[in-house]
Amino acid sequence: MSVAQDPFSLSGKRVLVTGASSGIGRQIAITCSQMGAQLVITGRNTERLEATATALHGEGHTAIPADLSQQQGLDLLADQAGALNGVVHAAGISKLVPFRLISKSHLDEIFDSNTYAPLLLTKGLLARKRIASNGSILFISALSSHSGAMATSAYAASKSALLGAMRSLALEVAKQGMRANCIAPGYVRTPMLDGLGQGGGNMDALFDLTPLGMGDPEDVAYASVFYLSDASRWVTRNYFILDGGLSTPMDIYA
Amino acid sequence: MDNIEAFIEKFIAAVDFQEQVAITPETKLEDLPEWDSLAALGVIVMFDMEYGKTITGEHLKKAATVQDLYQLLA
Ligand SMILES: NC(=O)c1ccc[n+]([C@@H]2O[C@H](COP(=O)([O-])OP(=O)(O)OC[C@H]3O[C@@H](n4cnc5c(N)ncnc54)[C@H](OP(=O)(O)O)[C@@H]3O)[C@@H](O)[C@H]2O)c1
Repeated sequence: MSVAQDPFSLSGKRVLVTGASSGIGRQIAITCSQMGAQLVITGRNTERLEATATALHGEGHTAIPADLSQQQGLDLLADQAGALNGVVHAAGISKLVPFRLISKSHLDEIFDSNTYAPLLLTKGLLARKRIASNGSILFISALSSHSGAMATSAYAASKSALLGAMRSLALEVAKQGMRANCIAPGYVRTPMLDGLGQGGGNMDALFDLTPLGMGDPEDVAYASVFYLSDASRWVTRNYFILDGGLSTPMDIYA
Repeated sequence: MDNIEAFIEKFIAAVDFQEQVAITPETKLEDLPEWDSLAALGVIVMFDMEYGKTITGEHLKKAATVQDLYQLLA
């Protein structure tokens, strides 16, 4: 099948990926470039962002460092991103904090990066008419938005907030032919997960419960390619759980 | 830095013991009935919030007594 006929190809599409300096966002950027997309990548750490830029296939990619918990960073990125066919919000942070120790500053920190950043960036891009009709907006939520693992109240809340926001947004942009969806990954082998293990989380028991074991960033990247490509042109307001089979016995309703 | 008495007070608050326990520097963590993974997380967060110090689950595994925990502050 030629690239032009292949509905899964990203050739001719320009895609913005946040969180591209590490883990899942990094792999989404690399895989999208392999599928023919031109990338705009962003993250805070310039060194690791450059390393991702070097790993991208093909030419014409752009790297824009920005802290998306700051309005300045959001504006800068929306100003410089250029025309886009797809946006993947993969930036996010996670911290294990028992409920009795949560505070306004903890909630603010988590919500700034995980909820406000993707919503306000999308708003900034829409206001500047940066997203083409037929464009795809993809939020990386998390399985814990439903499953609420221990000591993740703020994180789980910040990620489930994306679900409602995405559904409403998708309704509003449908008339411009745009789509919005969430992917909710289970446990994926990344620096974030390593950090949680060191932060006292007991991860091994969870992996034992996952029929297909722990996921890799590639697994989220392949699903993202589907959501960005024309193959998913009839898919919107969708919340896609991607977890190696972990949550099936949990009776989770999206 | 706090003295060990002040540290023990913060430790007790972080674990949030439901049953009162007497804690000395020599108290063994594994002897505390309420010492579990959530309690350990509370201590990790307490180190961060109260002392600006990042400790990991590995550090906690190596600490046998309350005194060992206190020494992580050094
Ligand atoms: N790993 C998992 O098991 C898992 C499961 C479910 C969902 N997720 C979600 O998947 C996404 C990626 O996670 P990951 O595991 O790949 O984590 P990661 O390796 O820690 O990467 C997180 C990325 O987000 C960026 N970021 C965080 N806060 C930012 C901010 N304020 N402004 C700009 N960039 C920011 C980081 O940039 P710098 O490093 O440059 O600071 C980094 O590139 C997150 O949204 C996470 O919640 C992960």
